[in-house]
Amino acid sequence: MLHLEGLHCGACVARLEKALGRSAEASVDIPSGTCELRWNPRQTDLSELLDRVREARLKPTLMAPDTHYEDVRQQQRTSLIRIGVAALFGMQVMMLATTEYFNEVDAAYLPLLRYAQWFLATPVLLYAGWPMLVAGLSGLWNRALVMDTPVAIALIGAYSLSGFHTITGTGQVYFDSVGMFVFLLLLARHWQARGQLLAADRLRRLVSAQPLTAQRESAGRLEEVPVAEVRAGDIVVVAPGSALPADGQLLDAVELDESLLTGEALPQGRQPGDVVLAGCINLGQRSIRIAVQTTGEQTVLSQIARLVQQAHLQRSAVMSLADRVARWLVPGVLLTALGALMYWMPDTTRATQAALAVLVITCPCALSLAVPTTLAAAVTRMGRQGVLLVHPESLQRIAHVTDVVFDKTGTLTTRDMQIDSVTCSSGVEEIHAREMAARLEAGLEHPIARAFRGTEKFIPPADREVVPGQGVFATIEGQRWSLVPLAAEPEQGRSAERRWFQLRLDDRVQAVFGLREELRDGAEDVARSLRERGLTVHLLSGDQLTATEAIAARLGIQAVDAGQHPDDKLAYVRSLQQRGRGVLMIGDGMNDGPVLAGADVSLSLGSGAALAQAQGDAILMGDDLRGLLTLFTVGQQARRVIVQNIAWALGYNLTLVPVAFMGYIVPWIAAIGMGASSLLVTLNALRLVRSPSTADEVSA
Amino acid sequence: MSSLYLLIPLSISFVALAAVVLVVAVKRGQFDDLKRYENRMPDDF
Repeated sequence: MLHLEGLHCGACVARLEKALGRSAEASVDIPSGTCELRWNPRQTDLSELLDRVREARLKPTLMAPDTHYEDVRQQQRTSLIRIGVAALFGMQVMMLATTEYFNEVDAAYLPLLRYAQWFLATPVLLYAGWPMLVAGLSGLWNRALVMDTPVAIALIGAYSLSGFHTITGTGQVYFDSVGMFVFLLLLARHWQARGQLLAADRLRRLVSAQPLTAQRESAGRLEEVPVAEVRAGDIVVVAPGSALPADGQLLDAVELDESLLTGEALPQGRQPGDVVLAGCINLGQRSIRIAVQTTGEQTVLSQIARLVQQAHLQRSAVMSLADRVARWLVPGVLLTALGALMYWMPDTTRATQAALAVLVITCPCALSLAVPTTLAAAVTRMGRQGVLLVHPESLQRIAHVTDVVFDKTGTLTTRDMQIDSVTCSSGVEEIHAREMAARLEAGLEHPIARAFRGTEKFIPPADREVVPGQGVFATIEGQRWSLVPLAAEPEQGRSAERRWFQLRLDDRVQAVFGLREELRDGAEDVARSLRERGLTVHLLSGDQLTATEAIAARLGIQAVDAGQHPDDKLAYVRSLQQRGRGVLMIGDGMNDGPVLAGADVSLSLGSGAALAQAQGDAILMGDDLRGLLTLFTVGQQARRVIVQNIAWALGYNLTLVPVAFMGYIVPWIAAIGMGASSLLVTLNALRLVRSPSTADEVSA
Repeated sequence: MSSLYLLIPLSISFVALAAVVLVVAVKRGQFDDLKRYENRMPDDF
């Protein structure tokens, strides 16, 4: 698999195919910019193929085969076929069944109609309903009763009894109920899974942006190799703007973006001999060399990933609401059915009928639809508002949240900075000072340079020198200019919450600039709304205390903790949880992974690191934090709808159980009742997709 | 009414055919990315 940069249209594909010629076969997916290559390794080298791809003016990076994504896609296809089969055949069954409901059917044709229904219902049960049968029966086998257990028993029971009645030509058949039940249940589960596929797709695109090849130096030449082939002691070369492929010792001075690992927004100057970590990005203008020390699973990045997994496991012990209901309902249903069987026992036909009537009427169809349909509706609704729900069941935990914990860098603040104070020396105009600073920083790609540059485009000075930690030096129009960092000194009016820089012409100070972090859109609104909802807001940061407190003061946040490592943040959240608080964590960057997984509900930002995305229960896709409020609103509504649905389904079942127990239920009424009940639950859930609310209007 | 002996098997075979068409379409990935054609350039530009 390759990720191709610059792949836009059919013409690009034609160019690619022409460049590859007969040496390889390419299948291309334009929207994701990926390409699958098949070639004979004995005839052609991978590096030769990559060269040919580059000739086609496309920039290739190797991708790890993403088996998870492929699995999910395969599951979606199978589930679509199952739904299709259930719909097509189920509809035919129902058509034939209705003739019996509404007309007096000539006895001569009854066997024909019933055998046809039997024939049509068989693929619905055995193919479309297969996952439910397997889940339900294996649950019974392992003595762990699940929601699918009565579903499976009812399906098999209704199907076999109908078959028996068809052969003997007596009683009623329920093939249509089987078809409808399977179809509705499959549909609800499919919608729920679809949201997860979208999340996996997004993740795949993000991961694909990280290089999996490295430029290795060997015998004075550079060769491109997969990262897996890089060994300790190799020298790898990292181009400007690329991520480091392995942990190792730096051989050239450079500035690195380490935000993925440390959350530190500002570029870090690194000297030869320093140890640098995989996942950091080379912000310099030149390629750098690294003596590789650890690769693959041993890198710090991989270790953080494992920490994330561990934290995640602890949470899966919490049961969802529906599972808790099922745990006591399912044995009850089975016992009642057994009771009905015993009660009528001398009369075998009546006993089986009553037992099955109990199973069908208590058939937790509506109950098992209650939660999945609501969650599916919530996923759709939030998706429209730019919030991707990765773990829909987390919505049920929203109601318990009492504390909202924000990460600072990249979450409450953007990764950009802005010039916020300018003091010019006498005789210097501010506009001129800004222009000279912009020209000095032209073409550089780090947050400070971007702040100085603004929107203007200048040609980078020819003899510019960027010395990490010392400043930028260049000759512009024959004069020697420089922009150097200054230490913060509150006594001289340079407060610690900003970063200070001095613009110099030769050795004369022209101006002093103060830069501060920019708040993300909606940060103020969100902090205020959360307080109005009676929630406690916390701010955690890996940054210095002064910078963190400055941000907290702007947002009116009282609980602040700075200088925190990933495990400190996790400990902070854990201590809140031990005091009985429900914690919602909002973070960005890979270092937040463990704490996101440890919180009761977690939200990460779409522009954040790939791993944090995988961790969040929900992902905010836009730059606007107000999606968080949507999460709360929809979460509360969803919980209300779930409670209503469960109350209805339970009430319906409990009322009719005694009637069914006594054998008074007419089968077709039971079937219609079940269908109507399921429909009611589904429609109630769909209200969630439509109903707008005030919080949404704010975020819109 | 005896026409039912022809019509019902006929309808069953139509449904079976429809199911086969669906299976083939899904397996060829027709429903995998419903947005793919929104982004595509028309052939007759």
